[in-house]
Amino acid sequence: MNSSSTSTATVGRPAAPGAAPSPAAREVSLIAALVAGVILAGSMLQIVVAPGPVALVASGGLAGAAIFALGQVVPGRLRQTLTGFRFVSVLLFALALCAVLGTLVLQGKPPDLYRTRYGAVGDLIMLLRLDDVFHSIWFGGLIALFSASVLSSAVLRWPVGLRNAGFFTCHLGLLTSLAGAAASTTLSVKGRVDLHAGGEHASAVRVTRGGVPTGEFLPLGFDLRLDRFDVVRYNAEYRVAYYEPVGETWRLKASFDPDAEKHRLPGGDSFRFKAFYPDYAAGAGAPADPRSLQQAGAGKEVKDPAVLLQIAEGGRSREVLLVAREGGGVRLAGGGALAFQRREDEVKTFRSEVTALAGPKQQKATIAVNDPFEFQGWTFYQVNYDPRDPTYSGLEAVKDPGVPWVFLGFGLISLGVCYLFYVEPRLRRRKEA
Amino acid sequence: MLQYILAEHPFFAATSVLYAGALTIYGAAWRSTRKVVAQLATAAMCAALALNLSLIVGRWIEADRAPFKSLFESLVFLSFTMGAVYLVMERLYRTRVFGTLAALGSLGSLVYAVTKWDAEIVKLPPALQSGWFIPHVVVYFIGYGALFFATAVAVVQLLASRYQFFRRLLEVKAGTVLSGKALDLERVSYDAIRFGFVLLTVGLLVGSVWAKSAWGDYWVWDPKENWSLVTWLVYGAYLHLRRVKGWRGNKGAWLAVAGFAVVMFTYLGMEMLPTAQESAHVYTGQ
Repeated sequence: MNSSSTSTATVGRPAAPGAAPSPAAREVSLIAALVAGVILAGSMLQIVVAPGPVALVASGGLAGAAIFALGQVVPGRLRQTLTGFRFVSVLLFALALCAVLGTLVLQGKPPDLYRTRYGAVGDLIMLLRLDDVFHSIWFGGLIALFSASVLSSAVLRWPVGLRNAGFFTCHLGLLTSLAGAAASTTLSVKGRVDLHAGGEHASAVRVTRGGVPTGEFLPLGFDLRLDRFDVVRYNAEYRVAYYEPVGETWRLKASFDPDAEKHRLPGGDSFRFKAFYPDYAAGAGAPADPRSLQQAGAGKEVKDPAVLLQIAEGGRSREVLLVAREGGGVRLAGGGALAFQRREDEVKTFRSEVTALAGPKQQKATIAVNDPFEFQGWTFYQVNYDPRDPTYSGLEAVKDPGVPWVFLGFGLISLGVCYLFYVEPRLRRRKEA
Repeated sequence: MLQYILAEHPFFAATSVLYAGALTIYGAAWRSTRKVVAQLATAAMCAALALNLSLIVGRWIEADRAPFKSLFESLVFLSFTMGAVYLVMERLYRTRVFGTLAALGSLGSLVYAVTKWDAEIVKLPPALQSGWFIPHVVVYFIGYGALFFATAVAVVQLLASRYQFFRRLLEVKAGTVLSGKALDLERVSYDAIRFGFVLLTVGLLVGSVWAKSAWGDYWVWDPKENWSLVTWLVYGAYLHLRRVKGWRGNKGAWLAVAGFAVVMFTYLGMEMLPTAQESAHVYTGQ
């Protein structure tokens, strides 16, 4: 590999006055110039070219191709630097810093928010496109350098043999993923389809960018009808809950299933279930085994449950009846409180039964979270429901030609890394033996 | 809280005690030349891991789902993966030098879990009901276990470069170093990072495929996604820099330590970010 010259050089040793800088020092200077250059050029360019998906991919692609071509045409320092481990390490750190930056500054928000939130710095954030780091042209410049470096390193391994297939495959995977991501960025269409069961058919997608509607509508090319929409909830469960005061509010600290055991509370007190009333009404209702409450969650009917607890606190014991419907609790000497209550009904899943109608062709499907539906190039994802409107279903419609390439790249990266680390060394050892 | 855990969750308490025991005996094995002490340390670690596994299985049965939903559950799992990866490495490299740090990691994870105790078992929301959920978490946490081990080795490497006590540790003939050969700490750390990096890669990619099937996007620059990428990039840089002269030895060890700091921030620090509310990945049920 041609990076051997760079990897054996020493950095940091002070050169004698008047002496030429070491190859490593020259490489460091070139790396700094390249990285600073693309960031600066990208920042300047985005003043005159409106940043966006097309600008990002076009500038990144052109710059990457130009740098790669220059590295191939002009042998020597540039090519050595592009394929050197030091250069790619610097780029990896630079990309990591960009990713960190994207988590420190809110991304993709309206301009006013930055001025309100960050004051005078808000304008600078907008100017440098730190409000949308990953679509800025300077970020595209870094990706261009990275792509050029990966491509140059991969080309260096050509022709590919068994003993260097891992490195090549991994780097080819990176390039394939980047190409797929570029296709996704420029060619994909995402949008919302809002449907009501028994309502009108949807024939267009409300286009969104970054989750925000653009106001544009795109025809689906067929009709989509919601036949039925279900929100499935987990079975109702009752619990004896222990709360502790936190400032003005109470925080749930522990929850107990009904059984015959004595339970210790986090505050130091303890209690035991004495009786359970599945259908309690004042002065009525036969007590049942506390453990039968566990069956309530398994479909057994519980109408108006209550529990009788024996609480031990501060050396004395008392019995307390707690009725779930009353929602109240009992304060304990240790400062906490016990309550018998029904847990919130949590959503287990929500799913749409739809029919796609394309002329005489009809296709029925069920769409749920993690179970999308594909039809004529569109993929529909279940993303939303409205608790106040049981007929409403919110679907995300996506058409993304980049996805197969991205996933193919992912596969190549995974295979390449495994081969590089675990097969290539064995092959080399075998050859040496 | 301690009384409550002892009374209501005795297996959790017993697991912690066993890790503490393993930590103590591994520490004793640093000084002792008797083989039985070191064997006892490994036995204590195995017992702790078995009990830790029973905690995970028990929770799985009780919750009727994989116990990786809340921060508490994931910390219990992390404790297990750190210990399990260490035991494999102990067997592989025939050394018990790092047992103390591994037991400390597992114990630390359980102690931290106490501060994030689940008040109740949380139900699985629709997005997590995916075939990708278990492989994604398992792959990542085994990777975290490997990276923790690599960091433990790097720490010993750094300490050995400064303190005679740690240099002597690596030369002990009985007890801690079973192979009788001097350990190449830099190589051991690199091997573990390499393994961890493969798992980070697979975990990251599985996560993207899962995100695509759940929400229609394989990457949305969510803060947690970004930091997962940062972790991958930092370890990627470590693996590349290792080929640059001057970056092995202590410099590389410091980078390994820094890499694990990034891992820990990715895992535990998301709430500190100003963009945390934008993330769909911040742990709930704390």
